This record gives sequence, C-alpha cells and structure tokens, in this order.
Amino acid sequence: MDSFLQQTSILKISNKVGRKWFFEGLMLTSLIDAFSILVIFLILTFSNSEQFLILSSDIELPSVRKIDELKKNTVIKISKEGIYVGEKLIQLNDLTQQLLQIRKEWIQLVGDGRTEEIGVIIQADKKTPFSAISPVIAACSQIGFSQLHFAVLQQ
Amino acid sequence: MNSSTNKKSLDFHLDLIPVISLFSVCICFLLLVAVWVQVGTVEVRQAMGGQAQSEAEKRPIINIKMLSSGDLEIEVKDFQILKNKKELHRVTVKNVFLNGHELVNIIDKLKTIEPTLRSAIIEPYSEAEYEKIVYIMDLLRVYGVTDLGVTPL
Repeated sequence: MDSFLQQTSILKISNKVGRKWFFEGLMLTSLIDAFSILVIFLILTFSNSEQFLILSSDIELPSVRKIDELKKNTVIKISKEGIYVGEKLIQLNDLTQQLLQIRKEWIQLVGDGRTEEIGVIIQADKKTPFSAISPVIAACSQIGFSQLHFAVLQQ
Repeated sequence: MNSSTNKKSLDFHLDLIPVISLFSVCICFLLLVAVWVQVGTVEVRQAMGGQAQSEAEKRPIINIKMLSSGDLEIEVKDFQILKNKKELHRVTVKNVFLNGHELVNIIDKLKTIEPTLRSAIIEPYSEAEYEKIVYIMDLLRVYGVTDLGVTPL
C-alpha cells in the first residue's frame, strides 16, 4: 500500500505508458554519470581533519601563494576586542602567564626532549597593524615558542 | 517440452531510482561537509632568548627593514663572497607592494651569488599591516628563502 506521500506525489505516474515516458525523458544514464563524477570529485576534496581554527567573520586572513599545512597548536587570535588564547579572552599583561602555562602543559604531555617543536598559530585580520601583533611575537619568543605559524589562506 | 518456455530473456531491468537516491544523499552530505577555503600557515622561526651567540653557526642572512613609505631596505649579512662588493651589502627596493618583481630580482641575484641563502629577518614598522608583512614573507618563501624571522618592536 502506498504511503500518503507517495499517493500525493506529483511524480507519481499512474499508468505504465506515462511512467515509461517520464523515466526515458529524464535520461537516467547520463544523470547517473553526472552524479558519479560529482560524488568522486567531492570524495577527493573531502577532508576529515579536525577543524580547530575557527574563521570568524570579523577576521579576514591574508592570502598567499605558498602555504604550510595547518598543524594542531595553540591558537592566539588578535581581534578588535583583544587577544584570545584558544577561546579565552585575556589581557595583554596576562599573555606571558598564559603562554607559560601552555608550555608547562606541553612539556608534561610530551616530555622535555621535544620542547623545540612547540609552536603557536597566530590568527589576525589582514589590516591589523604590526604594533598589535608585536607583543604576541615578543611574548612567544620570551616563553620559548620558537615556531610561530601565521594563519593564511591559499591564494 | 516446449522450447519457447525454456528461453529466458537475457535482458534485465536495473532499477536506477535507488541508485539516484543514494547518490543524492551522498552528494548532499559531501556538499554539507565540504571545506571550500583552504587555510594554512606561514611558518616563522623566532630566535629564542636563551640561545648563545656562539651556538648559532654563521649562515648567510638578509635583514629586510620595512619602511612606512612602502620601500624596503635589504641588508646582506655573512655572505662570504660579497665581502668585497660593498654595493650589494645594502639595497633599497622602492615601493615593494607595486614592484614585487624588484624584490624577486634581488633575491634571485643574491641566491645566484650565495645558493645557501635560506634565512631572512623582517623588521616591520609599527603601523605595517599584517597583510604586507605576510606578502613579503610569501615572496621570500616562493623564491627559496624559507627560514624567516620577524623582529618585534
């Protein structure tokens, strides 16, 4: 027995001739070809990597030709409201303390031998003046974050 | 036995409607989870405060000073071959954001003289836009100068 939706569907073609005409008219083979190509393309471009960098509407990243792969690191966001370390809005004076805490946690996690790999991702709007970014760079260098990753878009 | 009853038709009917439904669901899912913007990073290696001067080996390096006029002052350091060529020790690139190729030409020239050149330190002015700093980094990286540093104010 047909369901209510099937009974009321505009695509429900009652007689056999009409059904044949409808599906032949749609050219199903080429439709499936197109769908297959679309599915293959989307699977190839599919990324299952974790998205830990959230792009907010108030920050427009600069675009470059050559980018490095985005690796999981602590994200420092410099916006008009202030400096965010991860999700937390902090004062500039507290940045060093916060970074020190992150470094301690990192050392506990990986051990003393791998501290040179520690880095941060700096996310800022493309029009941000260097005077706003400089204190973050200075604090990172002071604490021992040797690798700074500036978040950018692929051109 | 009648032979006609044994003849089974070789034609078969493949029901394409479920295939189309399956494909539609797949396409909808993949379109919803697709990431269209490719986010990456530009890596900068900062010198650490505790590093002794003697620890770091002397490598050819260029010091790029950004000026508010849009010009760049490029200073060449620790180039063994350039010891006697004073004219190449300090070069100015006029308005690099309009003449990016000029910086590229200089990097090319310096790379020809010193193929081991990999390092550059960028010294921006306080009002330099982040986009402009990244633009210079990108130009340097594209032409093989990959170890970059930024001098804080």
